[in-house]
Amino acid sequence: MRKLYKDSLLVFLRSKNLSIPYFALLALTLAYFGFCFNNYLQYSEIFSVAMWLVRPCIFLIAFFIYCSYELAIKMYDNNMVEYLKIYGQGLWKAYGAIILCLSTIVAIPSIMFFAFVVFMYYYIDVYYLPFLIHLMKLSVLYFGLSFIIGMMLGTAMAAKLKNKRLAVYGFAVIFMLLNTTFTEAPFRIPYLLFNSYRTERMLYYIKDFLTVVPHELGNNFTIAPIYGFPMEPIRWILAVFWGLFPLTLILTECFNRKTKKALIAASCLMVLLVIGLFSVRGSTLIMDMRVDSYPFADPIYYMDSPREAYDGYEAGFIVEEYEMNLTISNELHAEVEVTIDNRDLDNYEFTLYHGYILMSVGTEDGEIPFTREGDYISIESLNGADRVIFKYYGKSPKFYANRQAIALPAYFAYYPKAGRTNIWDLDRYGYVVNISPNESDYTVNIRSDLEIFCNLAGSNNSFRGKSNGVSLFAGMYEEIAENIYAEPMRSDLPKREYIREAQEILIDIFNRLERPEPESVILFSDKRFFQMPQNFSLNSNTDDTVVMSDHITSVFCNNGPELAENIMESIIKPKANIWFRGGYLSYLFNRQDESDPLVQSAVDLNLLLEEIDEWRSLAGKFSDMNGEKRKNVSEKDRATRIADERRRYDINQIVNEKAAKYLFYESPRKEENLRIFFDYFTSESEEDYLGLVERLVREELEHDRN
Amino acid sequence: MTKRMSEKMLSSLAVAIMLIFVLVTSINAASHTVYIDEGDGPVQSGSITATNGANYDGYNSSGSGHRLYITLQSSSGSGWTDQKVALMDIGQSASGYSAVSGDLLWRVQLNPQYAYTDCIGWGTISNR
Repeated sequence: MRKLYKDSLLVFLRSKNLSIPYFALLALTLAYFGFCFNNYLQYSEIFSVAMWLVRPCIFLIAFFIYCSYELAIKMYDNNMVEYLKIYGQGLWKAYGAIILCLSTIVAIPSIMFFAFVVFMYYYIDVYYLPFLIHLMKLSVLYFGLSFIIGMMLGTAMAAKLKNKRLAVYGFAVIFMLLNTTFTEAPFRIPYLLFNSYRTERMLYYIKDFLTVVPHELGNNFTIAPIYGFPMEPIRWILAVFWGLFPLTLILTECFNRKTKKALIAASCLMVLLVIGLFSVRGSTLIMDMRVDSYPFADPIYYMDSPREAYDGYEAGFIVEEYEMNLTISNELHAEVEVTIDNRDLDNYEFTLYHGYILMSVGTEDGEIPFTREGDYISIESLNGADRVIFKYYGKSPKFYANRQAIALPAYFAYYPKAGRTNIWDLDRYGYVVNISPNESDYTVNIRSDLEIFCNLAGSNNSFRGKSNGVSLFAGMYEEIAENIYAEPMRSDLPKREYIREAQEILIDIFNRLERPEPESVILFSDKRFFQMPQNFSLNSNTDDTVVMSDHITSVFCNNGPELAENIMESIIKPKANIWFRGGYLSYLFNRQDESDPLVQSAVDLNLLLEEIDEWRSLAGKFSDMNGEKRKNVSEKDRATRIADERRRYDINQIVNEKAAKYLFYESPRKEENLRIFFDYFTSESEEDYLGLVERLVREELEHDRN
Repeated sequence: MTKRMSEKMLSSLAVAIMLIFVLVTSINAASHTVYIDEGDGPVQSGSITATNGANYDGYNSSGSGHRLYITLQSSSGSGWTDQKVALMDIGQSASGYSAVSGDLLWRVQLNPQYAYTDCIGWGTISNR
């Protein structure tokens, strides 16, 4: 065997079509490490470096498919197989030697990647053990097992397809494309043909099964440090499967009769087992363009659902106490007992995100009937009981909870909340900050392998306390300072002084506005601060900063002024266009760019009023436009409408920026205007903000004339 | 011969200056708008530089055939990263901001859903 192994290595080294590309690849890998290291020196973002390292992974896999196929196929090209089969287990020994030889060839770049990753860990000077473990796992899965998969697939194709190179390289190309974002375009075809998402889901199901590089080539989405690269248990199971399954195929070529049948049976069983495990894989992080991915699942679900608005909805009861027993394995399994204050209602409504499958609802006396419609649970009667027990399991594409990480903020309905509340705000394009108006007593016990951080007091994944919601975070996440929690590898870590500075700035702003500070601002710096992953705001305009009764979640905390502005952004209602609201905040926080030509030139108020009139008249033209009307308009009317819309869009930014600049910067009554608009932004008033702008500008013009 | 050479050099210099001017003004501009029309696939706006994030705004015309994605992208010099994504229904707008700090380039991308090419829309990127 040792001789066979040495001979195989010699064959590899003497084959110029294999050895030269291999050594060129090693040299390129070294040069690539130089590029990645330079990337770190320039931008100091370790995850950016890791993403660059992972990007060419599929090309390396393809290269090892080529090497292994071309090495193994030499036996068939030189008609050696028949001779080898004459000897007892001769072919198997030959394949064994080839696999050992290929393992050596694969091991060298794997070790290089591993060494570079460990070097980078020590170079960045973070010294956070879970991150080192994550990097090591990344090396094993992405640069170890995936290379072995390439090697085994190439060898298996040589054993099964023999000299049919067209088929072999055809499969290799398909395999490569399935491990990139190339599939986005062809996988849309079923929707175009059948107007249904079902076939697309099936195609992605197959793609996921064949994916050996979870962060695929072409993916532009960032990696959240709390989660890291997707490496859930199913990814490891699939990696081991794609290493072992080709081996069984090779073995079926090496043995005859009974052994061959046993091997075929074993490989079939293996396939069935892995498909079974794959179908119960639970929560995995999916960052791509499909309809059930992290960025798009919820927006598409709620856009396609009938619009329901539950503003001002009264549940008729409050939850006084929550007792939550959670198990977080591949997904969330929960048993939540709620104690309510009113047992005399005919109907009880609760909100629970539709991704959680409700198994039963009961009281101490047993199960009770319920109906489930999307996010809502209706219970007719509690038979005099005041405690309701919900048992459910499931997942959310964005608010993940699995063996790798947990990100369940209090404002998301991952546990039953009293009454009917919206989960998604179509107008704001974001998750509704769904916090209970009253505080409840919480007892939370969690079974998980991860160390979980919570806004409530406790330890060992058991927490207790009074709050208006429970947030749970775990993964590469730590308490980096007293009551400040963040991903330690981030370069923009929050600091207590930033939070204090933000509070002082906000108090000054409220003094300037002559308005009382909200309670949330007064107690702001005493609250627990949870920095959220950067991609939390990827698909939502509401997750950037949320202030709750005892804790804050915020994506960014680079400095005090920025945090103060983000908090103010979460306090004011989005009742105006982004350009006007952005202008309001930048003038309120004195953040205007003095070199901006718009800031330097004076606003012509008469022109502004004309533009507002034009904008409003154009907007009025489309206010009653709906799908039916759209279909029935003539081509000429359609062209006119598009031209009008374009004109409206073109003046939209100008009008809003000029209005904000005049009212909050140039106007002699700018302080009063800031106050008027603060009241407007925090009120329930449904007045059009441009109407208010127009009124204020006209008043000033009138005042000037007098 | 010398005259021809100097003419060539002058014209090359003029082209180079124009190119530099166009590139510099497009990068330093405070806002950029991109239009997507029928027959277009994904389109990107010009880039702006910003240190404390960017605002974006988009509109999917009522004359569009399908929904339109708007993506706010940033780059530190080595590839573009999606910072915000939103799906705009026909006749609807989307807007927002990203507070990612650092010396970054920013742009918006408009991309019709399901690779259709019947969308008409507009997207704007601007400094915060």
